[in-house]
Amino acid sequence: MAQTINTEVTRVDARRKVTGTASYAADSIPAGMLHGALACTAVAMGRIAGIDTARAEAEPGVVAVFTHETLPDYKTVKGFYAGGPGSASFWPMEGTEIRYAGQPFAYVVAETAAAARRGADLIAVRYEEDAAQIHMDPGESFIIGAGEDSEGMTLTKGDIEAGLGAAAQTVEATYRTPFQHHNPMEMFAATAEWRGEQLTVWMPSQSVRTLRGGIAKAYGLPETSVRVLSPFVGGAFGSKAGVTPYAMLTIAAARAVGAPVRLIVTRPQMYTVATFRPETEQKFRLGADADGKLTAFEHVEIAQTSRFDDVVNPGTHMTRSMYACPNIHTEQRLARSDTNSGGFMRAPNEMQTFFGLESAMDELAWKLGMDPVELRRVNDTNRHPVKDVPFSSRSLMESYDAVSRSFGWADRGREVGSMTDGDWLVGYGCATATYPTNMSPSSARVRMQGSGHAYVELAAHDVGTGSYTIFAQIAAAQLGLPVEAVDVVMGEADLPLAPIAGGSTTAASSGSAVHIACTNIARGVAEKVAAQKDGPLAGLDPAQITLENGVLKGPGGESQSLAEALASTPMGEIEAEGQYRHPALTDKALRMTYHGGYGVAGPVTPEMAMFAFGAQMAEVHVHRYTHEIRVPRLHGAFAAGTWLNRKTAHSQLMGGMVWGLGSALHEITEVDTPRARFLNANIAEYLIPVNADVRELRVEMLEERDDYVNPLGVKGIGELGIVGTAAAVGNAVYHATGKRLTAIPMRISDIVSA
Amino acid sequence: MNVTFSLNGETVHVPASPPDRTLLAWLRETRGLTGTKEGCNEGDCGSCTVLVSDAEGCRALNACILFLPQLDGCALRTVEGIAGPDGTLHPVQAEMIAHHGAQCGFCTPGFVVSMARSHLLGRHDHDDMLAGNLCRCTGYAPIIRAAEAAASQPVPAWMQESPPAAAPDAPATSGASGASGAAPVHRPTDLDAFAAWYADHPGATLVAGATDVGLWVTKGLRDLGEMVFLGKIAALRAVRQEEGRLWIGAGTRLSRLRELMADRHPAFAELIRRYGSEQVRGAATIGGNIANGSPIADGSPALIALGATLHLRRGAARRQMPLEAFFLEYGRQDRAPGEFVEAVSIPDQPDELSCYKLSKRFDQDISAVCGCFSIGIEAGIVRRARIAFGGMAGTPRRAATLEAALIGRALDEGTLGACRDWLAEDFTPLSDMRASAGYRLDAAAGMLRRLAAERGGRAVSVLKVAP
Repeated sequence: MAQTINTEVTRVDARRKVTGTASYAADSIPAGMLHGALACTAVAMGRIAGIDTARAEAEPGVVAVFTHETLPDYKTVKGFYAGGPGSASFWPMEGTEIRYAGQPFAYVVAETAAAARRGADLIAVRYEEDAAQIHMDPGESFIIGAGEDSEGMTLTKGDIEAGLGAAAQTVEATYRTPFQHHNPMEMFAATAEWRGEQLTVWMPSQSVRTLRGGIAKAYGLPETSVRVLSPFVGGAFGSKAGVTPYAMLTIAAARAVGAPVRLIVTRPQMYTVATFRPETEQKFRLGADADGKLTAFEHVEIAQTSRFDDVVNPGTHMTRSMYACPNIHTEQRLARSDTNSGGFMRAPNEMQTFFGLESAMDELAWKLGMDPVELRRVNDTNRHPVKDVPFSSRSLMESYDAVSRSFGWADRGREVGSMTDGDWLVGYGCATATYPTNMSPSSARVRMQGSGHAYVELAAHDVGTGSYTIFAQIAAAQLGLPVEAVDVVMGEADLPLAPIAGGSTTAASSGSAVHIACTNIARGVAEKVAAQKDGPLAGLDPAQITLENGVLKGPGGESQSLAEALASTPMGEIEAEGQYRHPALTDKALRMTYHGGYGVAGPVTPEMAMFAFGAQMAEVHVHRYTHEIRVPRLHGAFAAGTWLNRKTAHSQLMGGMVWGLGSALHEITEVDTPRARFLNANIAEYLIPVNADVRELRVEMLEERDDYVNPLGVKGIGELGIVGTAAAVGNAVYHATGKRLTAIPMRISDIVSA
Repeated sequence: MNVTFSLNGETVHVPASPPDRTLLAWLRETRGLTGTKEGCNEGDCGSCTVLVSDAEGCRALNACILFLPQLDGCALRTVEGIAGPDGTLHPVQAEMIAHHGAQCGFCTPGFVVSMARSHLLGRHDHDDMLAGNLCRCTGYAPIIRAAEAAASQPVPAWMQESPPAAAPDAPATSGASGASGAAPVHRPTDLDAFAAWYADHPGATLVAGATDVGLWVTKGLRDLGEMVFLGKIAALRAVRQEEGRLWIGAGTRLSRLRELMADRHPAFAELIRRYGSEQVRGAATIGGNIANGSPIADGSPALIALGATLHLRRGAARRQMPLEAFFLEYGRQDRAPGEFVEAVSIPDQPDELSCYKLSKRFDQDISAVCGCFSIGIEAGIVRRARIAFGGMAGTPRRAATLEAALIGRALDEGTLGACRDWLAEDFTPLSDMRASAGYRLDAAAGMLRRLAAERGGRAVSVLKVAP
């Protein structure tokens, strides 16, 4: 493959971003646009007993106030966990019922955003309030019911009790992870404009086709009547995937007032009108023989869910894929409480489950008196521990060895508390990172001109990850063009199918489709020039013409650049589609994707297990007197097949590690238990890392070849970097202090009380 | 009444009414300048950072909590004006591209503006200068590298601003309403006239830097009624040395206070570095910080420890009190209707101040506990002690029992071991999401251990991450 792959290509959209000309959803202002605002409930459970909108309607600038009784043509869709495109199964403003705090109960349209928000604040509402509970009760947990979709929610291999009985050392531990919110820098927004029965929606989205399909179906419109535009997305992390009430309310309001309406959801409202990372409990029982080989592996995950959806992100599927063990038992459980439905947030189960698993492995290593890295080595495996198929590639220990070198792991003190720096206690910790390689079907259309320019079009998304750039690279490499000569158009539902930007699928899946489309371009050009009278390839058998780095080559050494060959044809331009489907993708998964869902092959196919791996190490300083936890160093080494772009990939991994650091030390959505609501619903008090929190952060990217995963040999990396960081930090805290923190975020006060 | 300022080099005249219209809303909704982003509308994230220049220099401010009347006579530059008129990129923009400083790109305009200011001022303390800009994608390092790479390149000619003449001022104290029916807007210039007027109009809302009042509008959705913008009263920003005291006008911005304290009380200056952000310190005033009386403000404990006096004024009548006496209880201060904070003054003294701020996040985080200690030790014995805490009670408060107990003692193990008990007599802290009551007492006592170690010659700054 040509030189644009695995190099540091500068982002193609960077100039627009640094000059402020990249247009995000809320930056498009259709003529005559009005502004929307949501009014949300202060109570978590009960009914609306009465709403008085008089003061809101009298507020200067307010155009209309809609409630569940007065908003016409408001449509809803089925929730994701019920097989639909919606962010949750329960829809607000369909009636008087209140199911969670911060539930929208009215929608105000005004001439300015400020007037709309003031109007929303002026609505008087009477509640009939019922008791509500926001934290799950793990004692009330249940296993997801039997049925087709419950496959593997519980799993038993071998005899767990026998394995524990045979162990030289055992660990039994429970770890807890909190509610978290994505907090992309771009707030949720939706702008809707109706022209007769033609609807245009500007909305930051991870899935423009899901959104279009959901809206069109709800309104009974052909999909061609609904345009969904999301060219730039200011971060998403899972929060912008589904069809949300705030979007459908805005669409209905715009129709009702006969003018375009834009809603920007306020930062506090972002905590309740969409999804979040549910709180979890991770219970482990591990046993190992004297050499460290696992004899028993039990993991029970209990995750919070709403009363109206079974939000299940099966983390036990991931943990049981990790280490060799003859006796395995896992259970995937849920416990309900009174919230909106949670959903996906970057590494949606791996962040939580690997905080648990990798903390438990560290406890086991201390009990065995083993180097924690060696414990991972002893239990490394080339075959999937449950499915018994080979890993398509697995560079776990290569990652550990690389990070051990860069970090200086061998220099650590071997005892707890053996390292200090002035009044700071110093500790080192390590943990494994992994993420499944999920392959979605995808299409792409490429148009090339003999003048040496190409256009790539597909309904994929760049949520900040760099998709615009890597698709341009892939096309440029194959077509023999400079990256600047390739324009990529994305973020529109009318373009060829691409999957939801989730599960780290986009680069590998849609990148493969772009690759295939370019191959098809070459084939088309080869057929044309072979049929021509003149030219270096004239008269050859087109089947024998190959494409190499943008050059067409004949069997006898004949060659011509693709662009020149194309220019010699009468049209001078060619268009081709590429459709990618992993051989192991089922028809059911294919159908699901074409209907707006999330259908993938992997991570375990009948032949192979597909995962990316990495290893992380943290140095932690804990102050002897005030117990502040600082992380001066965080190193990671990762292997994930082909690196398409070393700049964007490095940034994905590094950004992931910063997320992991945030989870370890800061990120928690605090809860007001008596009132059953989220408390720190802003970004002053929901602490995401600031620049000064991040000191030395090093990412090493290992070379790895994997011919099975897809034609490009690419594994997804958007989520890999976050996995393992929190455990590495917690394990380092233990090394420094001898205190095992079993919940994140790890607070100064936890050190005092541990 | 109009507000006159230059916008990316072009002079504009804008009605001052409604006075609670934010710059961000005006830029995006009225001018269609959508490069400036709304990321929180609460002054927390820096996505809406703009450059505001006037005779006193160039500041980076959050447009979401900046009211249009505050801009009168200033030069405003948004991200659209950072590149040259012919499209030539500013060095910080070129380096952000080269170093992959933009991912999703939503925070990028705010970062670019903050970086352009650092570049203009020749500042190299990028970590501090960018502390008010949050990013959720990059992990910051690429952005810092871009700032470093741009630092050595010359300032482009278009970045040299000359602010336009301000709009002709309305009479100092008379209201001048804009649109009919809207609340009057006042922009007084004369302190005495303002004092007299305010005594008769105690219901008016005073606006200095608007870092708090801005939130009353964007978050509290309050109707502020008559608004008085104090930024044009030069006398309120006066700083002077007189009669053994440093007089600091209430309108003095925190950024200026930090400079004033750098030599006199470097621990206080260092504390200010971590409170708010460049954007907040460039707008917020010490008078506003005190008058709004937050129990967890970091400024008041330091000022109390320094023995500061608060100067209040109502009409021509002035009174003064020790700063700690001003804070009556949570949310209530000793300020009469029509009375305002004119200044705070600090007695000259040898620098014996140590300040410790404990927070989970390094920058831009509300303190769990902020402890400020002015402690004089002679021959190993504590001779003077003024100690104040934020975060330990409903108001910033002195630790009277602890102060009395320490005087005459050495900071030895026995004394340090007893501090928690003395503190428990002074304070009954709350447990909340920032810290538990027990932790607060432990940590406050821990600060004295740290102080003892520090005075003993060991470097143990809480403000630094080791190594």
